[in-house]
Amino acid sequence: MFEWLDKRLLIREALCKPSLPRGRSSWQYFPGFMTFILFFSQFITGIWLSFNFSLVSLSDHSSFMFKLHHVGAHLLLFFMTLQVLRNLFVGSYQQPREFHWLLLISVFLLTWLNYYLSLLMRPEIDEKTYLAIKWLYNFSFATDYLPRDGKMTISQLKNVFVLHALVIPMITYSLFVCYLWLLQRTGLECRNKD
Amino acid sequence: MKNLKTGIVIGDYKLEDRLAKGTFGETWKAFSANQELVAVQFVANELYAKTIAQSSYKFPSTTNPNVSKLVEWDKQNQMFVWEYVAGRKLSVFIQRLKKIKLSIAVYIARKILEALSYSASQGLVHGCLRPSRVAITSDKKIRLTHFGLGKLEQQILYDLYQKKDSVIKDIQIYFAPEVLEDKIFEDPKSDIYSVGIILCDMLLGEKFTRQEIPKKLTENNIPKNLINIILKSIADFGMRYNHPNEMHRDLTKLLKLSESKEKIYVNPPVPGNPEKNALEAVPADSEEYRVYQADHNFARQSIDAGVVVAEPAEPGENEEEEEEKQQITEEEAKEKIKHILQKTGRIDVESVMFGTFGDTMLTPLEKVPIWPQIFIKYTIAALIFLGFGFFCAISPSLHFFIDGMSEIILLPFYITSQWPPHIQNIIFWFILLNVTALITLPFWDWRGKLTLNNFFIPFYMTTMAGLISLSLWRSIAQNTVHGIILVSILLGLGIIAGMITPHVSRFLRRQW
Repeated sequence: MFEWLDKRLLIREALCKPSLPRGRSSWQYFPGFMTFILFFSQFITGIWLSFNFSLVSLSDHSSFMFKLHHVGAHLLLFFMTLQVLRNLFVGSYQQPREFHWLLLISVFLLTWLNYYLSLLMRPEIDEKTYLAIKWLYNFSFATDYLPRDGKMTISQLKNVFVLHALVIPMITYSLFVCYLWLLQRTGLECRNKD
Repeated sequence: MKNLKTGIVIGDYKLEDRLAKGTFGETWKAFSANQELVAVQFVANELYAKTIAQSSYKFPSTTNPNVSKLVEWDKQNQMFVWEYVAGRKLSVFIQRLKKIKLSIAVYIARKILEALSYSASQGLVHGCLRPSRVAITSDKKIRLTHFGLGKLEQQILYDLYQKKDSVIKDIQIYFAPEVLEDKIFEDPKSDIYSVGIILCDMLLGEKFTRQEIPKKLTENNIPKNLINIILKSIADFGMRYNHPNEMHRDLTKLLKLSESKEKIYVNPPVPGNPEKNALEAVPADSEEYRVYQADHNFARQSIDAGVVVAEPAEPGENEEEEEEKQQITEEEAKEKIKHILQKTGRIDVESVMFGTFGDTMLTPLEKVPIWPQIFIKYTIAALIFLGFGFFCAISPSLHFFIDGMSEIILLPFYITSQWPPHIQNIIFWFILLNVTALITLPFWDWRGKLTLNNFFIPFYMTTMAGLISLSLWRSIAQNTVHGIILVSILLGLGIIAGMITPHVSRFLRRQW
């Protein structure tokens, strides 16, 4: 069975071909690995939450899937920040990896934006969340999307949901796949010029 | 320049024969007052002479057999006096032979690197290495000539390059970009760059630009491993080999040599004729260029040097034994790195960040597959983190971990929300500027100077750490003046951190 799959999906090649330079600290690739896993988990939990979307579910944060999604989001931000810092300090943005960096930063910023939008995905905004979004009121174009008197209208919630669950994830995952494709082409960063 | 001819006496030296007319002047064979042979280089280029005349420079003494020593700088006559090296310049060989055999080219490159390695350990940099500065002597040794000016020569090259002086047009390719453009002098990496270009010169036998090197090497069927070594030697400053030893080790490993067996043949000797026993520059396809113990697969060529050719590596042959021989202990690696760092004075940021000091001396060219060891290691670590996340999700007592992370992420927003709107706008534009700089980083930091910049990273980290700490102090910055004062204090602390960090790291390295 495995041989049948391997012939068609090239599993062995995908697993064995990637390599790391001998002798380098192999843990420095761990943040990238965790980011990949967490993107996958956020995708699964996000889809489950979307299927069970309702106004009630937006206020109810006790469901297990919501908690997993919530925890996963924080871990994702943590590991993604580590990955960006690692690339910055190691200099992985230099040639020939300029596009890797552009894609990584784009994914990074979009993920942070998505996290920030998730604060607005509740019918009633608490004081802390209000303080977190207060500066947005300085911008006139954003006020239509922001709560009034601590409450979000149905249309505002709908807009935020579409952005958070559909538009931004679509862009993010597309860029992430492009990033993985480029990584597969150039190989993992090493001290030699590939 | 003076009207030079055989027999005239200039300073303490009597001119014998003109050896060469170089980029910056003429070189003559001469006899000193003690009847010792020297090479006298008359400086014709005005800028060259002016720079040397204006500099106070101590010429270093060196007694390495691979390096030709500078004897004297005669200011009055504007001439350098060098130790005389009997032999032919490598440039002559390249000109006549066109392409030099791979094994010989690598042998010559290794010998150059040995000389550079010794010099680097003395804190010396050649600075102007090119084929005309490499001599192959009559006793079949490789010697580097014109060694001693280092930084001075690089300064002159930089000035000439900036002025777009055509005198260096033909030799420009041998010099590293950081020397010609960024004024990074006295770094052994610039000599390593020159060795890489010299190696290409020997292998290709034709003119090329830096950008054409990978393509031309591939077209000439140079082995991929050697191409990798060459590309690494001519890479941008941050990606290049740090020390001649590293490139030397890679070339050695490539050819699977050991010092005792290292031999090379070029031409069969002619018995009884010492002149003919010298290395002659003969075309590679001539009758004279015969092959001893003909083994066309390994391309051995012979001169009477008592040395055998460097054999290309056979894949899969005794790899484990070789690996065991080449593994060094962590203590040895630390000692070597400490020695190199003391001489070169650079921070290897990557090693500092990821603790690879002990691994730096191991070969960088070998790769190990991710599957299975690394994959299993990562999977176990991932399960630990995911397990922790899972328990945070289900256990109310562990919720505070995640709530705490939310607090930390949103605290900067909490604190800035209490500031006046115009200050918030300033912070917003400041963040936008930083984000733009971050996104466009590859295009303004293509040389990787950010990672090597001892000032910028500590400055930035201190400022950011300060801003985050500030945001924890909620009652602060109730008005504009407070905010400006505090941000100014932070910037000042960041500048101080950036300035003292290199000194601290040097101090720590000496202790370590």
